[in-house]
Amino acid sequence: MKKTWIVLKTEFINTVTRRSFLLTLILVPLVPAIILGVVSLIGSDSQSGGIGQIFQPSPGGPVTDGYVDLAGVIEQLPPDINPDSLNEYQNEEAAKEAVMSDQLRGYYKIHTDFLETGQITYYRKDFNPFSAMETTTAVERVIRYNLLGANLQQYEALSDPVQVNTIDLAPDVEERDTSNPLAFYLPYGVSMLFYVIIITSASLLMSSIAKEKENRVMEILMSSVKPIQLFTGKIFALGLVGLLQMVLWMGSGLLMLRLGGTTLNIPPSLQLPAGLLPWGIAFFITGYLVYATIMAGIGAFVPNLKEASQATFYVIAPILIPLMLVGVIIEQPNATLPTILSLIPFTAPTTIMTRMAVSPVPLWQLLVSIALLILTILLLIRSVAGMFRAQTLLTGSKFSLGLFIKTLFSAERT
Amino acid sequence: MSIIETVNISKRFGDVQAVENLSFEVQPGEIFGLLGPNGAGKTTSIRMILDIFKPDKGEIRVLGGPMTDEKKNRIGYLPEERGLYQEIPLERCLIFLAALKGMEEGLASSKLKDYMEHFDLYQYRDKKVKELSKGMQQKAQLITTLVHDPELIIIDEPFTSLDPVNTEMVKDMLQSKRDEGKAIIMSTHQMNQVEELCDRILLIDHGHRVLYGTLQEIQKDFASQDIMVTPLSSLPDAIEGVREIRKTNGRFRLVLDEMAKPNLILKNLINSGVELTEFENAVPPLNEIFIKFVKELEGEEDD
Repeated sequence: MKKTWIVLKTEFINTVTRRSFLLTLILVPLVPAIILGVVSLIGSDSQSGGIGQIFQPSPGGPVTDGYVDLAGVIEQLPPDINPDSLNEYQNEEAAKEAVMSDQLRGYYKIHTDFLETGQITYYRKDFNPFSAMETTTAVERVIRYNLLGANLQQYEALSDPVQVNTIDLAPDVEERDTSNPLAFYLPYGVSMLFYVIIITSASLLMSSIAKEKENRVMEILMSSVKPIQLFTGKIFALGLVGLLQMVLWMGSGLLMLRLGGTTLNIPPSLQLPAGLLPWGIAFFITGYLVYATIMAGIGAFVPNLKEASQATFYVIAPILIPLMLVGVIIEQPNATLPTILSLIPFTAPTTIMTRMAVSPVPLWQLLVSIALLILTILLLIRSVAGMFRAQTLLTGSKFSLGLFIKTLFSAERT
Repeated sequence: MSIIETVNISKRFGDVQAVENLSFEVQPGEIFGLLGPNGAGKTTSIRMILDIFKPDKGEIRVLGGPMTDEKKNRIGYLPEERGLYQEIPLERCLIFLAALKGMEEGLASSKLKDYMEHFDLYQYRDKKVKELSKGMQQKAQLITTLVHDPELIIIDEPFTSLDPVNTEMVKDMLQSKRDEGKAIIMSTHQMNQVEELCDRILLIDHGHRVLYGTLQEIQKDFASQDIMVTPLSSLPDAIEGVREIRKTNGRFRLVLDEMAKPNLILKNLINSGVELTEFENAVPPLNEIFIKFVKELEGEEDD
C-alpha cells in the first residue's frame, strides 16, 4: 500500500510540474474565456451600442430604398415598416437618379406582369448580397400586406402563423434561449472538453508506462514493486491529474457563465445545469477508468512510446463517435440514438455530458450508464492486470489490434 | 545461513529452456561471480532470484526464505539494461527509487547527498537525468543500487561506461561492502575484474551449471604442470626436466617433461646460479578457462 502511494505521489508530482501540462491547464480555460467574452459582448451590445458596433455595418451610406410599382400592387405600407425606409417613385428614371445621387440605397421594380410571374427586380449601385437579403424581406412584407387587402389581422397571422409554447414536464427544466450563439456552442464545448480530459489523462498513463519501458526503468521498478502496485499507483495518480484538470476547467467554465450572467449579459437559461459538475465528476472517473485501463494495457504491451502512440487510434475511435454525432445529440438529446450511446460504456461519458448540457437526462439512464461503466471497468482491470506482468513489461511486441485483444483476454499470471 | 539458495530451478519461455535445474548458494561476505556467454540464462536466473519471474520448478530461498515485499527492500539491483527517468531532476529520481526501497524521504535525502558527493554528482542534482553523461548516469544507478544499504547486492556489468578512476572507486566500494558482510552477485564478461574481485564463481551455459566453486579451486583444477618464473639474470638455454621455455610479458613459462616435479626444477635452477624473484605454478587465466569451456560445450552440441 505504501509503495502504491509512493508511485501515486511521484507520478502526480512529475505530471503536474511539467511545463507543458501547466501551460495547457491555464490556456484551455483562458482561450474560451476570451472568446466567450467577445461573443457575449457582441450579443449584449447589439442593442446598446459599444463593442458590438464594431461588427455592425457603418452608418455612413443611405438606408432608404425606393420602389417603382408598375403593377399597381402597393397602396399602403404596413404599420411595422418605417415609411421613411421605402419611398415610392413614379418612374424608373427618377428612382435611378436618386440611387446615383446616393439618396437611395437601391430601388425595386415591380413588373407590370407581377401578379402572373411574381417578378421583382432590385437595382443598386454596388454588389452586396447580404444587404440585399435584408431589404428583400422588407419589400416582401409590403407586397404580402397589400395582397391581403391591407388587412392587418390576416397579415399578422400570416407573418407568424403558429405559436407553440413548449413546456418540459421534467423537473429542473429551464427553457433554453436558442437564439443566443452560446446556446449552440455550449454543448459542443462540454462534449469536447470531456473528450479532451479523458483522452489526455488516459494517454498520459499510456505514455508514462511506455516511457518506463523505453527508458528501461521498468526492471528496477520490478525489483522493488509488484506490477499491480505500479498499475494502481499510476492509474490513480493520472486520474487525479485529470480530475484536477476537469474541476479547474469546468469550475472556471461555470464561474465564467455565472459571472457572465451579470457582466456579460448571458441569459440565465444559458448557464450550465448545476448537476453537470457532480455528474461530470462521476462520468469522468468511470470514463477515465475505462480508457485508462485500456491505455495502460497498450503501454504494457508495446515496447516503446512510438508504438504506443500508433495504437492510440483504436482506443480513441469509440469516444469519437459521440463527438461526430454531436449535432444529432444536441438536436434530439432524448431520442433513441443518444440514449443507446449513453448506455454503451465506451461512448457514454461524452454522450451523457453533451446531453446534460442541452437538457436533463432521465435519472434511470444516468444510473444504468454508471452501472454498466463500473462493470466494464471491473472486467477490463481484471484483464489488464493480467497483462501487467513482468514478462510483458520487460519485453514488448509491435502493436496489432488482434494480438492485443487476444493478449487482453488470455493474459495469464506469471 | 546462505543469503541465496536455489535448488534445481528451471524456467522456460516458449520453446527456449532459459534455465534448467540450476542450484547454487551465495554466502554473506562474498563477491559471487555469475558468468556465462550471452544468452546463457544469467539474467533469467537473477530475475527469478528477485521474484520478477517465477521459476517453473525448483525452489529459491532469499535471505532465509521465500521472497517478500519487505525483503525486496534489503536487495540492491543494478540491471544490465540501465534506466532512469530521463525527464525529471536527478535528485527527485533517486529519492523516488530510494523510497520504493522503503527509505524515509529525509533519510534518503541525506544518504543520497553523501553518495552524490562521493560520486561527484551533487552539483548536478537539479539537472534532468537526460542532461547527464552516460558515465554520470551509470554512477547514479550505482547510487540507486547501494543507497538503502542492502544486504544482497546484485550487479550486472557494473563497470560499463566508467573511466579507470571511477572503476577503481566502485571496486573499492564493492570490496568494502563485502567486508561489511554483504553478499554481492556480480555478473560480468570482464574476466580480469572477476579474478580481482570474486571469491567464488558460477559459470552457466544454456541454462546449465558448468563450473561452480572458489576461484582458486577452479583455476587449480585447470592448472597445468607448467611453472612461471621471473629471473633476475638470464636463464640457461637448457634446464633438466624442462621441455620448453616460453617468454611472456617479462616472465618465463617453463613447460615441464611429463615426469618432472617442480621441486626438482627449482633445485636445478638454483644449482645453475639463477637468481629468482618469482617461482609459481602457472595458473590459467579465467578468460582462458571460460573460452575453453564454452567452446568445448559448443563442440559437444555440434556432435
